[in-house]
Amino acid sequence: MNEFQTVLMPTLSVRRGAEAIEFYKNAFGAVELMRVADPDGAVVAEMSIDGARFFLADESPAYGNFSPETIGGSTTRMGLFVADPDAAARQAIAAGAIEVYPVADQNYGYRLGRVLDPYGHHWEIAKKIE
Amino acid sequence: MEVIKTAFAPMLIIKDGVAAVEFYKKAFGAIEVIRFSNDDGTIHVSEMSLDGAMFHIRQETKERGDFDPGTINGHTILLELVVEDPHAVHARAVAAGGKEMTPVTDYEHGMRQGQVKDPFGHVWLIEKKLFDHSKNK
Repeated sequence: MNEFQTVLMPTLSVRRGAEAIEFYKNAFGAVELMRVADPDGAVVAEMSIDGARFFLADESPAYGNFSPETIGGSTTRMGLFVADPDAAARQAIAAGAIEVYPVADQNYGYRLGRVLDPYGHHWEIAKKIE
Repeated sequence: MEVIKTAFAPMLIIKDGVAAVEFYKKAFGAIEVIRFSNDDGTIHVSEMSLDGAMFHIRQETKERGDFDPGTINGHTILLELVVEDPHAVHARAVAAGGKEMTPVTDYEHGMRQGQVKDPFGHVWLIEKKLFDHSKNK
């Protein structure tokens, strides 16, 4: 039987990457799996939120990797599906994320709320409801 | 009770969502699970499934800071797509109109990876792990 699981792992471009690693630990209970730091302090890190892996890297505008702060917006939002979106959003806000709108049952079948993190990334924290 | 597994479902901002849905179907064999359209026929949000991995497509709204990658000539999030057969997925994405940034290559760090930029400017790193470093520690 084929048990291979196709997975999507976002890589966030940020400024102040080393600081962002600590924020994501506090905000989402993320665990740092790996970190590579350049002499100039720029980092690439692999993180996991309850088994869901993502990466973050200091921006490299020369390669088209922009932090949301640089462009005043973003090209992708972080959708994060969890068992308890209310608790996850509360923790993120307590850690310094800004609530864009509160977690609530949405008419499209998700319980979902949105927060903006200090690095400019929007997180839609959700679970499916029927 | 169903156990909910924590997972990312990136929401890709795209100017031409209708074309994007068709591209992702062709390029990745994605399925459109549900579409919410705007009155003018553009896509507000579509929920897509890529072999069980969820992602969304959302209409660009610049005034809200939601930018199509083409608008800013870059991106704020890269998408890593972990698949069983990176060669096949990469080749199919390129055949569907994606631009090869790097061919699928086996790297010393233990990953088989190749990068494709889709016609909307989103960059996908198509990959699989060949061996696990952590087992050698």
